[in-house]
Amino acid sequence: MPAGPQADWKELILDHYKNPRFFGEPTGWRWDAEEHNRTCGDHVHVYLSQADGLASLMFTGAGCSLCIASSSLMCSLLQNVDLETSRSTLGQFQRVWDQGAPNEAAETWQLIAALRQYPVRSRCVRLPWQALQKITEVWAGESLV
Amino acid sequence: MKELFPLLAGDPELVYLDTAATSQKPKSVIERLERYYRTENANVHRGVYELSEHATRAFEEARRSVARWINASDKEVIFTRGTTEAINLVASSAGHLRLSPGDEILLTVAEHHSNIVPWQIAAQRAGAKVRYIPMTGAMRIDLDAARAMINPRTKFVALAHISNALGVIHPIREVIALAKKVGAWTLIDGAQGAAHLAIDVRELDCDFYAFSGHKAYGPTGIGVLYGKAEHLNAMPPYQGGGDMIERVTLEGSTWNELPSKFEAGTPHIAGAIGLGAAIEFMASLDLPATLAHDRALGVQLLEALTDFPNVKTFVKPGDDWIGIVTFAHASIHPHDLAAICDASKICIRAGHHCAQPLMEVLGVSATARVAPALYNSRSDIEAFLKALRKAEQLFA
Repeated sequence: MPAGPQADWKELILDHYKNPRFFGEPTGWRWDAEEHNRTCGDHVHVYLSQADGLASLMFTGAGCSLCIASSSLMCSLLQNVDLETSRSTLGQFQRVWDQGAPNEAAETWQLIAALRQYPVRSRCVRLPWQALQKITEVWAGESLV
Repeated sequence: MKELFPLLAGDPELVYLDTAATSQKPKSVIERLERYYRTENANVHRGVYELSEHATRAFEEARRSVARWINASDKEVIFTRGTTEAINLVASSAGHLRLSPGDEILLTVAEHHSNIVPWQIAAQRAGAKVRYIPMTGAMRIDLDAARAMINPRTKFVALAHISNALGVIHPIREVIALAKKVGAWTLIDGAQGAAHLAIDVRELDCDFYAFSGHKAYGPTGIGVLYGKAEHLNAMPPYQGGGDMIERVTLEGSTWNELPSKFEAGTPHIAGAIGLGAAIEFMASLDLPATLAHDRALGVQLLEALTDFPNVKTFVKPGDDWIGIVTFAHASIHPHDLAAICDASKICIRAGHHCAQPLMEVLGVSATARVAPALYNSRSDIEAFLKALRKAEQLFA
């Protein structure tokens, strides 16, 4: 659970929904992946742009507050990162989603952990991360060539 | 009414407004299921001992109850897993029998995916084409378009009795009459219809009528396909296995008579018996009064929603409407609204309601749906409106 009163993290999550960070299709993106939620038709499109070997994510799409906030938080974590950071962030998401975030974790991870309050909506939260998984696999395949 | 439903009686704070997805179960159905498993459990149509004979009698009595309820003969009542399996059975088996390249299957754009996808599969296999009757602006079937679309190539016309997303009762008698003029077979998806209306398949003169137990106060995993005996006799089996055969040799097999021909394997015996109890429960209701009750709650909600400028509804009340209210909100995603309702123990449906083509017609990707039933009251609608106001404060 995040530190501070519940109302605080609810407001912060709502802020990521109402004012999503890194929203939009970047020009000259290198890889992309789109995911759909089959229960409601929501969709998220994640784009990866590269500069000097480092990657940054942006996204577009339409979805509920948890889906958009999760996308916004994910993209906030992945700006100017290398492949290893992308992989470890995916791993960290899985750990936080399964077990919660340790008290010393950064606020972004605390907010992602707060989304665990809505277990029935895990598909909404996971949607952008599934897109990231696909993009990271393509990126990893490319870096082997 | 809540006292007849153990789940609701045991949790007085719960507001269940998702009956179009599945109904709550009356005590009589739950007790019947329990009695079967406690005292009557054996396989049917196989044993030569009394317990098995007893189970078989109870199972076949349930079939007779269904047949009487919908005015069919016993052999025309096929037990299935639900509406979905019943439609798949017809699309697959009758599709094999009747569809040729260039033939047409006519549906409406408002159908549940269960009454679209099986037909798409059948059409693809046969080289046939699926066409869709459009809706009018009032979200009613466009009968003029249906008249223009039905032609001698039309082999099947399949549509819902009542739309699960809109709550509108479709003019199935008119559509069946149009289909008959060209010799098309008609299938009515009665998933919602059988839970709200008295069904007389002879009077409707449809070729097939499919429904689920669980939306009509019965157990999950059991449903019914009614089919005219002459059609069912002409159709090839849908699944092979025990019970559906007359004789098996290494060279080939012959088929059992109706209804066994379409009931391969051990059926959902308890489910069928529970469905029999659900029919007894429905027979004890004044169905027109129940429908009027549900509709009145829907009207209460629609009238209250006019005070919410960000809410868009799609259906005006009428005699052809069962009280389901589907709506979109300009600034609240249906999932968020459903989550806020859930925090107040209010159950509503959010999503595309397995009717994505209809969502496209409505111009939304998803909606919220409130589906009142006989155990709901005006205070349940008020509780929902309170949650909606709370959601508006949060997402404003």
